[in-house]
Amino acid sequence: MGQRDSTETSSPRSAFVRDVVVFVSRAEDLPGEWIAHCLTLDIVAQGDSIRNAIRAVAESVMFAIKWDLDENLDPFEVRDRAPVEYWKKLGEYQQRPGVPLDAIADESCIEAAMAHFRIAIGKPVEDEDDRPSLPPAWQIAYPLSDRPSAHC
Amino acid sequence: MPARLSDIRDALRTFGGDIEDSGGPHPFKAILSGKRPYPIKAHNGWKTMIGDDYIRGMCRSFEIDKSEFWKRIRGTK
Repeated sequence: MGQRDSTETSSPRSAFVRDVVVFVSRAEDLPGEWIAHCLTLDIVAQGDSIRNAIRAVAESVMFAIKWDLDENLDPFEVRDRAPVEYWKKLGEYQQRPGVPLDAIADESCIEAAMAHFRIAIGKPVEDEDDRPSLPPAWQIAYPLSDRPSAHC
Repeated sequence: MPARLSDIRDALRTFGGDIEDSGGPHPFKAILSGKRPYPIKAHNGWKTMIGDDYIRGMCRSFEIDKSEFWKRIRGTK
């Protein structure tokens, strides 16, 4: 998680596939808003629902990557990961049982969520990536501990 | 504490940066010399209230001290 000098040069590979991790939690200072934090590139967005926050951060990540690639820079080299405390927070939630986000319609039951994006630059994913696919439940919700998901 | 996007722009200008309005559905672009642009999704334009987590993320990206940034936000109002 070391800091990088953003002025250093780093040419992107011609094609690559990367997974990025997004952690979603309630905005403590904006009631009703959710914060979606792409931990891999330390980019934050907000929305009035979990899904809107995820959409917003997806768009922000896409543009950040585009801006970097337009300058022949590798976004995964020139942008820092989120500080370690944010990864630890995600890790704490990952110890809890999660459920697919789509299984919960009422977001008031959800305390936090996690999502993965797969970013493919240059070539179709199938041609480039031989890693296992992400699990179907790629958007995981962590229900409030006092409100079991069965009631949501 | 949240802040209006326009106040964040004014504070960022005191550091020599700015926030560009794309004029379309794309994110606003926060810029500071020597740093990578930072995207800001603001559905309500310059009036959008931006949360503290968001502001901290931008400050980290630009290596700006967050408490100093908040002083500038208060100073530009």
